[in-house]
Amino acid sequence: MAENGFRNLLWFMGVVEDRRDPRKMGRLRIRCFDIHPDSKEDVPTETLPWAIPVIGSYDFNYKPPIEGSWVFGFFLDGDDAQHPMVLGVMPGMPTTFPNSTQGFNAKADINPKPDDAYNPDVNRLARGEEIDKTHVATQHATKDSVEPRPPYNAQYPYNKVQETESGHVFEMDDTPASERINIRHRKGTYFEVGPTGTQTNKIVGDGVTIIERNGKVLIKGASEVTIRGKSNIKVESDCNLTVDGTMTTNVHGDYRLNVGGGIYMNSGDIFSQKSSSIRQEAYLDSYNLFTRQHIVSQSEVGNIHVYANTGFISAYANTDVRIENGGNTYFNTTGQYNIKSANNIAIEGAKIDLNTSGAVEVDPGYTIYVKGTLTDFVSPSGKRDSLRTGLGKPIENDFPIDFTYDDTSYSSIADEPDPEHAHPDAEGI
Amino acid sequence: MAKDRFDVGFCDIKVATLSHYDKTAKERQSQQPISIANFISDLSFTESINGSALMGQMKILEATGLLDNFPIIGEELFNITYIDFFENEISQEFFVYNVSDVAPGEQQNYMYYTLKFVSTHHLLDMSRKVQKSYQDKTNKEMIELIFDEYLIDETRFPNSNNEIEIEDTDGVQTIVIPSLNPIAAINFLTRRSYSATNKSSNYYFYQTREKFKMKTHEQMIKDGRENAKEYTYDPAVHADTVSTRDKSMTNMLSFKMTNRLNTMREIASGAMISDVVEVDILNKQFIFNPYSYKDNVQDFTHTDKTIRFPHTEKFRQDFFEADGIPKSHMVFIDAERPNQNYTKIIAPKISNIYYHSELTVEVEIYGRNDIFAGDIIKLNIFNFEEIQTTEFNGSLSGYWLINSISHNISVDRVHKSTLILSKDLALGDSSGVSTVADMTTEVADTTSEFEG
Repeated sequence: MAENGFRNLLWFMGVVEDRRDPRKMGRLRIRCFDIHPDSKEDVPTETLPWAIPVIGSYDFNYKPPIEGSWVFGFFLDGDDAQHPMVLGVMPGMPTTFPNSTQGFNAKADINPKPDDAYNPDVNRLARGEEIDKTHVATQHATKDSVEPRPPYNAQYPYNKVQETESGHVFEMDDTPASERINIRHRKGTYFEVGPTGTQTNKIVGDGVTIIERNGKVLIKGASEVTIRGKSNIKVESDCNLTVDGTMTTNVHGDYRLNVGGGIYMNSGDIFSQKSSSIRQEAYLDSYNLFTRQHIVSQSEVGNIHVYANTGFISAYANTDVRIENGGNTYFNTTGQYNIKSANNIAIEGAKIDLNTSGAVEVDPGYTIYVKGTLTDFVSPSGKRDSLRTGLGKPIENDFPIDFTYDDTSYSSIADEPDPEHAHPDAEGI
Repeated sequence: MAKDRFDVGFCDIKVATLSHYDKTAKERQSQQPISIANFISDLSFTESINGSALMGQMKILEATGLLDNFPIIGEELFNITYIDFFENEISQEFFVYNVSDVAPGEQQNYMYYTLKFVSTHHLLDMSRKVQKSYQDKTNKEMIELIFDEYLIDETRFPNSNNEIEIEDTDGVQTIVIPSLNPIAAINFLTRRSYSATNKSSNYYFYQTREKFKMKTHEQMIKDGRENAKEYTYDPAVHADTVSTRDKSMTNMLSFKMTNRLNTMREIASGAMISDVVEVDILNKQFIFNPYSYKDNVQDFTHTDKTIRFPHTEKFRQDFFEADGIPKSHMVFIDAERPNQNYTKIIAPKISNIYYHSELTVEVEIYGRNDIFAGDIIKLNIFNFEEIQTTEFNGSLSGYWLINSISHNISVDRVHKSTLILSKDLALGDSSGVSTVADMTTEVADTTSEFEG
């Protein structure tokens, strides 16, 4: 009983044999030198009383020492030795390997580890010794150009290291001119701040960043992002991208831009598009092209086709309309062909041939001038044959020339639209 | 029954030998135990409920140069067989551990010295440590295991008396014995033992010439009442005639009261009123358990049927209760280990220790081999008044517990024993040991009568 022991404490040194406190309160089972035997048969670990820790850091979330640690404390009940309290651990240099079948050893052969024999309990990273056996040796091992070389240059006693038994490491290094912070997971993921303030985040597994509210990133210098796999960026609201300088987008595969609403591209200077082939399609409405000055359509080696499947083609100009070509010019229509001018009409050619199955009606409002020689009018049937021979074969079935209109559906340039939601505003565009 | 040829206080040392423990040495293989019965001029040994092992000493007067010739090197066994007036014979084996007070006789042709000896169990105890855990066992079971494993060695000490009597204890516990000698370990468990029957839980572990015992003060009273030897203090009885020889053997040679009351010790010890403060660190509980002897006195077994509850009501209020609790005992409890019963053990035990020894006397009687420490003895003592009466003194007469008994066998083989006895400060109804049931009203009646 403890009524006298409290004023006559029994001090002890011992070895932690169990830290798996069923109450999860940081208690330890300690085998005490000169109080408990080394025989686990006489005193099994599970019969040792739980020692309550006295936490000098005033932090209830302290780290219980692992099995095999040497500790110091006292019994509240003095010589009765049934109520131990533990004050702290004592560092040393293990010179024997653990034997879990004997007392004063960890239950499992974990402390010291085989590599730790003849090494002080103080971590290698803190001592700055045998660094090749630490994570520093594996850092930058892939020689990845992005990952910087480890800035580790710790000198004892400046580096405060906590390393867990599985290999997680937390370093606070105050080595002069090599100050660092390093938090490292046993798998190799780490966060490190070097002496110049350079920070490295390396994730060897998947990485997830979630910000429940707003987020801001400010990079005052240049930045570089390399994504070696497929990348998806989804903005569930508006997205504004502002580039104060030049923006260059290099796409080595296809570039697909699917927009449910309109596309408004504004440029303060030239808007230039260049591709091996360009196709633009307004599959529901008009295609309007407005310029303040000229519109130039030029085909270097091919033809230029303007085709209205069901409508008409109209061209308006406030001044002249000029059509010039190096070959023949054909106007072919199934309806009437009307040429109307508010002013003179001049037809100039080496020869003007009017062929009609009907009459040629000339209804001048004033006088007909003929500068050449008028010949006798002959019957149309006899005359026309001779004219056709002079002009060659009619070409009425050859238009358009070398052109096949691609009337494939909208899916040729985008995903196939839902038949019920064929309008481009629909989802999936 | 004594034989007529025996004088009062007769004792005969029938056998007293010294032998070497190690008989493997060549020169000792044929060596027989040497008899020293004729060398013993004075022999004494003591047993006590507060002593865990028998100890004694004998004064040797011899002219054979035993110390150097035998020689005595601190490894000797001492075997003795002695018989008393009533022909009770006891044989025992002791270990001689010390030689002292060596001096030559007047003519320098003999020498005196003293040999001190202890029971062989004490030797085993001194040379062994218990570092062992006992899981889910009663304290009684643990004590049995420790006793059997550490204090019995029939190979080395075949003549030792290894009998033990252990009173039941309540509640199983798991305890790690923290590197203690076996007897210290047993005392450790004795101190922590709880008895639901004998509420004081005031256990003692001790060795008598008969056997080891571990029992409560109350159980000693219960067990000893029936066969209590009866002694009378009558200085008029003389031992010089054959007719008065038997009467002399039950007459006290001397009587001295060594203590009657000690109010200062009573207050300081917390016997009357105390507080056991349980600190449970694990559950962050700080529990006060006030204790009052007044509220619990009827739960205890007392030496006499009628007891006087101590102090007047006014004195109790003024000096035990008015200014708070004078004695506080802080204990730490382990919430995960059941049956620690600290509160039920500490305060009643402290009360019991004080009040059961409130009255102590020292008496001398002619020795006999059939009374032991822890026994009950009944005394008949007349009033010490000018006008002699035939009535016995109310507080001095009655049942007493033998706390210790010291035997002395003189050179002329007269065996005398000095007994330290204790009892409650009783009013003197010596009709028997009280029971809880019939004492409640008597205590109340007595208290009111006393206060009146």
